[in-house]
Amino acid sequence: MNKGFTLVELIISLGVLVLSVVVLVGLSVSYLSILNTIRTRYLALNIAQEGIELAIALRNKQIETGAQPWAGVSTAGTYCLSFNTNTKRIIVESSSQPCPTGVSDYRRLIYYSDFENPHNSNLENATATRVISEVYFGKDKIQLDVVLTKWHPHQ
Amino acid sequence: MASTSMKGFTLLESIIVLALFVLAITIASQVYVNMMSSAIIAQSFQLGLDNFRFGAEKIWNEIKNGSDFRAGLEGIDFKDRHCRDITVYKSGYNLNFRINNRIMPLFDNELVKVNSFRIYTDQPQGGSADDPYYKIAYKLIVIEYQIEIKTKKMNIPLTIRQTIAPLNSVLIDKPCR
Repeated sequence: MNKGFTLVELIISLGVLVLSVVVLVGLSVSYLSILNTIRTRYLALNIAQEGIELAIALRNKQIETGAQPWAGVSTAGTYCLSFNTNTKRIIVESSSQPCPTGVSDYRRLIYYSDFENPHNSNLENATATRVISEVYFGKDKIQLDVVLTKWHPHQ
Repeated sequence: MASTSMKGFTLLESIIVLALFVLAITIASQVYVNMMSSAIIAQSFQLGLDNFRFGAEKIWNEIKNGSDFRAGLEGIDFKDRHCRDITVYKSGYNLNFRINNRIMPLFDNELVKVNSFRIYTDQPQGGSADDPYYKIAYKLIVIEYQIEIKTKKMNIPLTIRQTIAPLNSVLIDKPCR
């Protein structure tokens, strides 16, 4: 009597083997994916914070030099802020699109608006300006915000 | 009398089954080792990054609330919120944090390797001793770290830039006189 495995038995055993391998591979990939997520989100948060610090420094630089507009920009809208380490100056450029940040695949856009009256586009009249720093990375984005006040050490 | 048939596997069948078993075990164990390796790297990376963040945030907080900055390319001196003298500088593959002449390393050498530590600042307009503090204080301090997070399997390189606008930089008088 010749007796071997049936097709069903073979398929089930192969299925169990493939399933266990797939689960182990999936776990391995998910660990690396977690690692990558930790890294990318930390970098994104750092770049968003950089945008906020640049906006604060720009306002403070206006105080130092007595320059107007006090917030560093006169019109509500979207801007790109960066720091040139050679000229030691903060660069402000009006832009509707997020700009490169020096870290590839991360782009940033800074929103300026009147904190008390969001419909007012003239920030020279504003007593407080809301600044939002938005960073785009991959399909994700992260945002931080701060409110800058029209403040001067002489006041 | 009933006849009993003595039937087992042939040598060929046994060899094939054994070979398949060994193959399956090899694949499974390799995948398992890879999974464990990934888990170890992910865990070590998390530990290393946490250690770096802890040290970097300490610098960020001290500079944010500090004053009287004197920045070099690879180190910075300043006074903290309690007017204590602070110096942060690169030493070997780590950063040293000196507070009132007491020196402590910022990062765990087993977890973080600092390859480069650079400091950039803006250029204040003022310069004379009579100028108010807001005329001479840095408004922006940028720190660039090139580090490697050490995991048990490999070192993962990272470039991190910290940008700080010190809170005291718009005061009329120096906070520590």
